[in-house]
Amino acid sequence: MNGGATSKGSLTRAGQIARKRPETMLKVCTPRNIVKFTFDLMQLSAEALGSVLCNETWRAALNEFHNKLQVFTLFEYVDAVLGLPVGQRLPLLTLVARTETLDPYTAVWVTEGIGHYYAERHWEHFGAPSGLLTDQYAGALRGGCLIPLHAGMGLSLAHRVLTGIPPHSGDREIRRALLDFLNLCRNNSKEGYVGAAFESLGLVTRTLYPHLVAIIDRELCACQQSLAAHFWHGIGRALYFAPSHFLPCCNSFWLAIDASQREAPHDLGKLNAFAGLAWAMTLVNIRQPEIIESLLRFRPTRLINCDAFANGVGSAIIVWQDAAENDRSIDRLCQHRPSGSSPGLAGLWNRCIKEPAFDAVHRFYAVLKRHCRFDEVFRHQSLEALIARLDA
Amino acid sequence: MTSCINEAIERPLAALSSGLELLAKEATFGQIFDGMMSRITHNLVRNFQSAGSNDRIHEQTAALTDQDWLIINSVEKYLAAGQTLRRWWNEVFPTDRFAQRFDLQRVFNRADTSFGFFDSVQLDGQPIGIMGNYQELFYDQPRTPSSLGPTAAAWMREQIREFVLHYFMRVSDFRQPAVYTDSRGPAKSDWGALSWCRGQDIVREGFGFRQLYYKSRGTNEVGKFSAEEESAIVDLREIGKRYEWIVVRVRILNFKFTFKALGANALEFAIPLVEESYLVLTSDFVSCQDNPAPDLLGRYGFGYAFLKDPSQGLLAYGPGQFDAAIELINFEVGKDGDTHVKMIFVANRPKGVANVSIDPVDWSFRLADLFSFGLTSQLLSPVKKAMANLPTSFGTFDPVYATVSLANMLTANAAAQQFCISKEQVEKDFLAQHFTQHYTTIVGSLLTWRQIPNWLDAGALPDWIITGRSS
Repeated sequence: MNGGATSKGSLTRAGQIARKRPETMLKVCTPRNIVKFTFDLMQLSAEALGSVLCNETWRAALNEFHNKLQVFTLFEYVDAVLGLPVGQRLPLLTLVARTETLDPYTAVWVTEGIGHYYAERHWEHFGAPSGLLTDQYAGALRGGCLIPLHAGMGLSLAHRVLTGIPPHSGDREIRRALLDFLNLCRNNSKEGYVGAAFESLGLVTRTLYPHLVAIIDRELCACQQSLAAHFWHGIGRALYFAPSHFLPCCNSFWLAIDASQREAPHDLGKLNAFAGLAWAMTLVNIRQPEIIESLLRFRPTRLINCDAFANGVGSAIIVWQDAAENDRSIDRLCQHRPSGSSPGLAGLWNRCIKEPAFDAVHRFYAVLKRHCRFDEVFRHQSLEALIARLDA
Repeated sequence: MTSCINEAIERPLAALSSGLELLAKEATFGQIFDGMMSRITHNLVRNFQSAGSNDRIHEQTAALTDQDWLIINSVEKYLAAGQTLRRWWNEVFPTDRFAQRFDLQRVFNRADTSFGFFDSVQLDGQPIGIMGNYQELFYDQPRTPSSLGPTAAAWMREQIREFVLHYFMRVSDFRQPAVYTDSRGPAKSDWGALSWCRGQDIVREGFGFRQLYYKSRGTNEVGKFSAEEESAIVDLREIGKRYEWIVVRVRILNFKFTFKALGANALEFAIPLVEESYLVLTSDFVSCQDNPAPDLLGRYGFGYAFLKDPSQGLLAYGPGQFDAAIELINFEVGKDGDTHVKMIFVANRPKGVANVSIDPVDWSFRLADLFSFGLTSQLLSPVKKAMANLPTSFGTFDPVYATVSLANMLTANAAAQQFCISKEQVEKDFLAQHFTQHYTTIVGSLLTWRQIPNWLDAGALPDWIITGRSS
């Protein structure tokens, strides 16, 4: 697996560095590199432990933990993965071209990291960006990389805007910050992708500014329901990666779902947070259907009549289809048959995973691509109704 | 090496502090826990690129303290007040419709003009009394044959533009010549106040600017300039493009508070004060105009609104204590290259001048320090610290306005009419002092301006101009 190779490479490099001069050691042993080294070590451990465990549930939990760590590392350490020179701004086209040699799974997460990295470098050099991913600057990019690029860019924009909110700010300052963020998303996104950038607000808020969740929700609900839906969808994503649900426990995914239903103060929030969680879980574990199966098996009754979960899975598959069109993961997911003996699991799998995935690929994707409205899948809504509306 | 140590020590501490900050916020336990862990991880892994390019906005943003936020949070309020004063000036000055205008200073044998004024303006729906002064002085002109007139004038314009907008705020403080001290002799510091040896007494004049905070253009992102960046004030043309505003701190050098209670020729109290003020600069206050009028080649300058210092000093009025105030400094290059400086100052009129705290404990320590050459405070510093937490202060009073009121009450206002002991006179004295400070700064900057043959040749500029750090 690519992640394993990266982790081993990192450990070998650490050994080489230790033999060099102390000053070089000091330069290399930065907190950033130490954290990466730790994460690589944890990935290796999870992979090794997962391969020797007989219990399927625990193996799936460790593999899921490994995937989460890998995704985070690919996103955050994009400069190391792509071997980017320090202090030099490379054009976006060059950055994206470097992902062509990576496997599809790695490439998608690295591309999201590029969106974030590119926006951050722009902030550092020139201040607030404008037109980053619009046709003027990113017109030559292949369509498939646009969704992850927008999602990554949105994370940078959201973090910069939320950092600027002074402590003890009132509703007025928050409203103004949200307006700034919306304008930044609009000014920097390609048409049809604004929602992909905006959704990141929920992820950044829940992850780094949890005390602002309630006030931002209030402001967005008062302003526009669809913005609040995107916001809660992002919160759902954040809950999947939250430290309290990160550890390899069998029920950590369900703890995250409980949290999403507890934290959202209204139905719109509950549905979108649920969909966002399912979305993140699907994308992170898309190569290994057995992990998703294991998660479903833990509390199957919770998903009966749960349209939000299926919606999250379907939307995630649409995104994956666009971002990694040559990847066979979706086919494998559709062909997977649950092996467990849990009653009703096969039916649940079909209803919550297989059918949404099939519809996403064969019915919805082409329509959304034709109308270039991928940002619509970054919130919970009936995809049937959406394509009917678009085609009308 | 320093950056390595910063990475090894400062970054983890900043990460920890950022995480712990959330403990004071309102959220559920789960949210706080997730937020703390995420913040710590995020700050540890965040990728700051230390590129060497000059067009970067800033290095890693330093953490903002509560004290920083006190100032930052006041920016909008005082900026709005400053904008009101600026609009008022733009309306009143061209028509010369001041409620009361008076001469302020005379400078002999120089082509200068100045005047002071009193008036009022509506601020937040309330009328407030304002005062200020206008001063115009000749700055420089090209010294070239008349045949080179237009070329020299154009050259002058380019130079002035660069000097004023890029470097003036970095070099507006300067040192006066200092008495030579023999390094082989006894040092003053060995004996403190008992020694009559000459020390390295440095007399600085002008204004020392330091940039502290910024707000990025197009977003609410507020940050703090790093210590290395503080003295290299940004090119003012960047304000409005990269920055929404920047906050600078100005230290007014060689500033003394004088009070002559017994007349002009009698004993004078002169208290040298370390006066500082926070200022905010926006694009509205920056002028960069080529050919703004038929007889002008250019108008370049800057201005700022004053922020009120959250802490209280001895002065109740003056730098750092204005409720609303602005200063505008514009350099105008004429068609022949002759350059004049126009400075405008508008501020609210004072309600009091000094704050003397009525604190017996503080007074006791000061008196003891006077007779023990400062030893009391040093020896009893734990006691002093403990006493500082007790409510021993009975408020403040203003000895200046109290004296003025008392004198006029006892003389049926004859003190004001015959001896100029009036609040109005105090205000005029303040404006005169303001005039002098600015006059000294501009005249002092002339020496710096003339030292550099070409301000546009950034590669040839000395380090102290580029960094804004002089000896």
